[in-house]
Amino acid sequence: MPNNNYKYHMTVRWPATCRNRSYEILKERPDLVEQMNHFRQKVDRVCKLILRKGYRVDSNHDLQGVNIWLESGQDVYDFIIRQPEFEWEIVPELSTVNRLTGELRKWEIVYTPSGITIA
Amino acid sequence: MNPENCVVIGPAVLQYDKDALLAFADVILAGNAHKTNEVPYATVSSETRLQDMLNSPVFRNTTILAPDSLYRKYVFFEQIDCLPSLPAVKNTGKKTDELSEQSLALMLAQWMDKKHIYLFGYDIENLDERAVLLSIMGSNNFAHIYYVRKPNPSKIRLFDSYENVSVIDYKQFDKIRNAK
Repeated sequence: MPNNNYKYHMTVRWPATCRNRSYEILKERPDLVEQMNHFRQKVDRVCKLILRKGYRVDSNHDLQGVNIWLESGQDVYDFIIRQPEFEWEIVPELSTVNRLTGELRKWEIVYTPSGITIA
Repeated sequence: MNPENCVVIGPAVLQYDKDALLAFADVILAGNAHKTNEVPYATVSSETRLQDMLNSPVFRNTTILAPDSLYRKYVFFEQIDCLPSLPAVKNTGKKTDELSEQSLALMLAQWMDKKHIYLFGYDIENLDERAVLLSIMGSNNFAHIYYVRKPNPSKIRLFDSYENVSVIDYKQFDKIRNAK
């Protein structure tokens, strides 16, 4: 589990060739594993570069993509808005940790011509 | 500070030292009416008031709790969180986002399992608010609620039928505060 400062959670999808690969396939395809590791490192480097507050790139494997925990809402917004710049795609869901209840709640990200809204 | 106590500050006039209240218990502020002191929690149900709170430095370290519909719009502001599911809402016959900030603050205090809830600056002149307050009081048997007001010789009979509700004045509250 992340520390208490991380309020937001997002997932950046794997590159197209690595998506929806089972563990069995990944065992037989070290090239894909390497590509995924490189992708995770790229996400980490970009986060270091563009995020102003704390973040954590989850090292646990997830079939959907790279999981990121962030402290700042402004960072989350920038991260979503700047996706085309880094040629990646996030899963259109944002999870937030409620400081009062500790509950992790998932929200849908909806793209609109003027920006993004949460449904 | 006794964790079993909670002070709810409503939007009406409050002539009591807020620092003393903050030292006495967890404080839940209803809206932005009394924004002179930093408080741990605030409830909000109006977008304009929420915007004012986000622009006020005094709320920088406050957990601002809003209904779902409002929270979705301001999800990228870290101070804001979503109100938990409040069981007392059902008894009011309204939805969470139709309730006033003071009602939400009182329900939040109940949700926190506080045993003694002190209402300061709580507006009971508005008849709708009064009806909601009575339904909240009727739905709760765990907490003792104190309606705290300025010393006033005229009695309030409104809460007489509720065993878990008392009307006290600032002097009586001083005695409670000094005893604890």
